[in-house]
Order: sequence, then C-alpha cells, then structure tokens
Amino acid sequence: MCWSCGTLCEVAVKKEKYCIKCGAVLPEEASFCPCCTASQMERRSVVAPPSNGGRKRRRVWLCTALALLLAGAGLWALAGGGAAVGYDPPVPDPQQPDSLEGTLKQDSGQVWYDGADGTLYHVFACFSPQPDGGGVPASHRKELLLRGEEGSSPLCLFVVKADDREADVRAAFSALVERHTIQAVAQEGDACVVDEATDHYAAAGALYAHEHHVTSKCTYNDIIWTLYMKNGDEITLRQVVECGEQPVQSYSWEDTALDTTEDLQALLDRLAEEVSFETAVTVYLPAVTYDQPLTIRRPVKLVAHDDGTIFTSPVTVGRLPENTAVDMHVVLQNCRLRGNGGTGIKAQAPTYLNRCEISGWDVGALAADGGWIWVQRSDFSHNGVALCIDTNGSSSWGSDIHGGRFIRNGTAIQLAELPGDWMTLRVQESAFYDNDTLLDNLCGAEVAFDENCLKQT
Amino acid sequence: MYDTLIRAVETYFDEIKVLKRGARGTVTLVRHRDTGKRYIFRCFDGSDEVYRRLLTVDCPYLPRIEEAAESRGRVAVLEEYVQGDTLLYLLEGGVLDWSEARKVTADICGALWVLHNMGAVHRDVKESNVILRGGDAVLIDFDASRIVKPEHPADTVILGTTGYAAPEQFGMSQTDGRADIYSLGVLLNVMLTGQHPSRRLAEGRAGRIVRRCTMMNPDQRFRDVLELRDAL
Repeated sequence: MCWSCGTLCEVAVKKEKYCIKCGAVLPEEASFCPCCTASQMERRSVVAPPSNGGRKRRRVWLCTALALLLAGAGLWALAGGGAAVGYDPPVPDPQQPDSLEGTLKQDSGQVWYDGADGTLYHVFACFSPQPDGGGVPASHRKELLLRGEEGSSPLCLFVVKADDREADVRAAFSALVERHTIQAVAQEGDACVVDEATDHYAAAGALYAHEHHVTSKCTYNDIIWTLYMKNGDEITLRQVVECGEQPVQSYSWEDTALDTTEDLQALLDRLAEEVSFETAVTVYLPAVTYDQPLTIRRPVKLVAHDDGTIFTSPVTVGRLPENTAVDMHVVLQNCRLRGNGGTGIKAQAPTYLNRCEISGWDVGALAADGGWIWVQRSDFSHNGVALCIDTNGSSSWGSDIHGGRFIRNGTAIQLAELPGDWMTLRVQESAFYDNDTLLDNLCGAEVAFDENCLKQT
Repeated sequence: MYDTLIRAVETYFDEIKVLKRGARGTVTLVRHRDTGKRYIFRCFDGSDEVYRRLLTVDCPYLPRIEEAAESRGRVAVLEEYVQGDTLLYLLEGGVLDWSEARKVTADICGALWVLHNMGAVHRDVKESNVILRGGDAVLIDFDASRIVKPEHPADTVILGTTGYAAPEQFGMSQTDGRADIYSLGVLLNVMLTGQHPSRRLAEGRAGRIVRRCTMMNPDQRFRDVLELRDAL
C-alpha cells in the first residue's frame, strides 16, 4: 500500500548481482555482461544422440541435461524435466555407439548389439535391399493399393560390424543366434501375411529375409523381428507397414475420343498434368490401329479391346517420379505391338506386359534408363531381340519373366545390364521355340529357368 | 530487463549494419566497442520464450544466445554472430550433391532436436536461415519459433515462409516438430534440385525422404528428427 495515497500497488525491489568476470553491476536476471561480454550462465554442451539403438537411454539423459540447464534459467517446469531424477548417466560420446547387451526391445528398426564374441554389431531391418546390394535401415513404409489387389515385397534384416561395415559378418553373427522369428501384428485393419524365410536376398547381403503380402485393408501393421541369442539375450526390432486404398479413375473409348494416336496421346498428356500420380488410371482402348509413336508419361493401365488394339509404331514409357506410397508403373494389357523394325516398347519406368503380343521389331521390348519390363503371359515372335534388359536402376523391379512365349526371334532374352548386381533373373513357366539364341547374357547376370520352362534344343 | 538490454546495446555496442528490417522488427549486426566482438541484435514483436530457453544451451548447430528480454510483446535478443555463408548464397552457385545435402540436413536435425526437446518449434527452416560455419550448418533466426501448447487447436498467427511452411502452419491444426520436418524436407529437395518438391522431386532415396517429410498429414511424416536423420 502506498503510504502517501493509500492505494494498493506493487513495490519493485530491484535486485542486482555482479559480473563473474569484471565485477560490473548487473540486473539479477542478466545472462550476459555488456561491459566485458562474459556470459553469466553456466552452459552445457547439448548434441543429439547418435543413430543407434542406445538412443532411448541417451535421450533420457540428454533431456535431463536440457531440463537441468533450463532449471538454471528458472524454466524447469516448462521443460517437463525431472522424469529421470536420480539417474546417473555416463557422459555420452556422440561419435561412438553404445555397447548394448541383454534384452533389447527397440521401437525402431535398428540396434547396436555387443555380441558374446566381443564384436559390436549393427543389426537393422529394412524393406527391399539397395539395388547394388546392402540395406538402409527403414522402419516405416506406407503403400496404397487397389481394392482387392495384393502387394508383395521383402522384409529384410541386415547385420554389419559397427566399425567395419564392409565386412561380411553374417556367419559370425549367425553363430550367436539360436533362432529368429518375425510376426505381423495388426494394430488396425487386417494382418499382413509373412512367408517363411527366403534366401532370395542373401546375395544382396541380407541376414534374414521374408516376403510379405498386403492388401489395402492392412491399415497398420507392426512387424516384429525377434532374435533369440544363444546366451539368452533377446533382440526385438519393430517396423511399421501402413496400407491404404488407392483412388481409381477410368476412361473408355465408349465415352472418350480414343480413335487415333493423337486422341490417346492427348488424353494421356492431360492425365499426366491434371491427375495425381497416386491415382490409378485405367484406359479402355477401342479396336483400332494406332499408327503413330506414343509416349506415356504417367502411371496408367492400357487395356486393349477384345477385338484387337494394335500399335504399329513405337511405344515409349517415359521416366516416372519415385513414390513411396504407390508402385509407379505402366501396364499394357492384351495389346498387340506389330512393327517393322525399330523398338516396339521402350520402358524407362516399370512396365508390365500382360498378355501382349510383340512381333516384327528389331527389339521387341527394351528396359532402359531406369525402367523395367515385367513379362506376364506375353508372346514375342519374329523380333531381332525379343526382350532386352539394359537398365542401371529402377524404382520397382523384380526378377521374373512369367509365362513368356518366345518364338522365332533372333535372340529371345538379351541382358546388357541389370539394376542389381545381386539379382537373379528368374524365368518361370516360359516357352522358347526356334530362336537363334535363347539367352545373350552380356552382363553375366545370374539367370534361373524353373522346371516348367520349355527350352528349344 | 528489456529496457536494460536496449540501453546496454546503445551504450556498449556500435551498429555496423542493419541486416534485415521488416514489419515485425529489425536484425542488426553490432560490434562490442571494447572487445571488437560482433553480435546479432534482434528487436521484434513476439515472444522471447524460445530464446530464453536457449540461454543455457551450447550446441554446434545453433547460435549462442547471450541475452533475451521481452516487454509488452516487444522482444530484444543479443546473440552470437555466426560467421559464414548462408545456404541461400551457396545455392546461388548451384545445387549440392547428396553427401553435402545430407550433412546439412543432419546438422539441422541436430539443431531441431534441441529445440524440439525444449518443446519449441522453429517454424521457419529455409536456406536463408542456415549458415555454413566451417564444416557445420547452423540454424538461425527463432523469431517465428514458438512453444508447442497442446491445448491450442490451431496456430493463430501465420508465420514462416511460403513454400517451406507446413500445411498446418496455415491454420489447419497446431504446429509441432513435424512442421519443421516438412520444411526441412523442402529444404533438402531445394538443396538437391534447386526447386520445390512440388515442381521437381529429388531422385531416388532422397526423393523418398523428401516425400515422407512433406506429407500433408503430419502423422505420415517422420515421427521426429532423429528418425529423419536415421533415414538419411
């Protein structure tokens, strides 16, 4: 209360302190001395934890460190600290991962594990291996699929030596493992299906691999890897697979002008400009002959008319941007590509030939510049080279020719370059008749014909 | 304390150059008369909350904050002058390669990790707010930063830079650390392609990382900057 006027008021008591360096008088809340530039605050070095399985433990400590620092500034409560009071952590060295042993349950897909053999291992999960082999830790994947469609892709577990990532330590690590399990736990929607272990990705460096199958109803699945070590340790890693339904649009010759190549090109160009690439687009073609070159610049499925849709000029599938949510690809279904020299279809993006006929070209189907050709029950006849793979990478590529018929071609399959050195080209249920050369394996790739293939003698 | 800081700067420092003058405030390069040390002095309308939380922090990817004070919505901050080129200046000479862009992005993840653990969001991650000092990238300018307040359903003031700001910064919902992940994804793409990801997405794995950073739904982005850094 003011003794002069009697009103209630605050009385400001000005508190002061002295600079810790030059002794200048400073306000009590000052953090800095403007006279000598000395900081009046005790500062602590704060850096993010390294990328490893010790993250959780370090985060607790670093959060605590931050909280303590903030407490010094009077902000302890706002920082939400104090959760780890009494915890006496080691001083972290961000350059070195923790050595961890025992039962490790990681919410992410990787961990550093101090093996009983004295080696520090980096164990991590990923989805597909890298094209040139090896893996990159990946704990999350989101995929859009058509209703009723099933998608299949690998789940891989890798192990490397922490201080020498190039060394192949799978045998040494395997010697420490009693067994491993992998389980899909549906948190929302249907559970995805995980197959038994496969060795298809061993050449890419995977320690363990399983194919898994999803539909658009597999909304949210935890993929739990558990390694049971011989010394009793358990390592649990978690990946997340999210799926959703892909939006769909379709166009038909019955209500859209598609009689000429110009019509079809105009529609495809408009769709490339106006419709999200994450929307699945199907175009139903009329029974006509397209006699001009066609370029496809977006994911699309072209379905030929039952009475025959013929392409007599080259079809080019241009490069498509990569997309983590959908498999960006082009499908030609029931189309007849009949040429007189040149290249029938050049795929610079993943392209499916589904029940197509390709004949009369110098090169019937060419995968190049990041593209890939999937053959699904298609016929190749009277081409110089029926199928040529000459590509150094692709966002989506696989290994099989399924149900191809190669008849009277100069060369049935020519392999100039494959995107993955570790890949085996698998030829399944395919027939080869009267070709001059069945396989021209220029890059020395691994090729496996299954027992259902019929080969010319 | 605000008035004291203003007076102290006038008394002990010389103004070298006004670096930025805008509707919300000014950024001035000043030099201490006795020591010759250079500092950045900021005056702007807003809150000093984030700056005050940084007073006790020493991080290689953040400038050292020497003093911060606020009075009636007006903020004064004295901070370390980070000597180096801005990323904006570097990108005028051409895009970065993957290893360079990855290093910058990882450093900014380190800076954002500190902020996010304080409950703060930067909200203006862009190339002009990144300075390359030696081999490290330093994230500057917390004028648009705020402390996350979960009880607020939406941000009330639109801050940040068009093209970099996450959708939720335009009022769709309240921002949290994932808004910075969005901006950092845009920045990564700009470093690699010179363009916004909506115009040209970086190729390969980098593009996939950018895409996940810039998902419209924050729940579909990386959960935190450490997960983003792991992906790098």
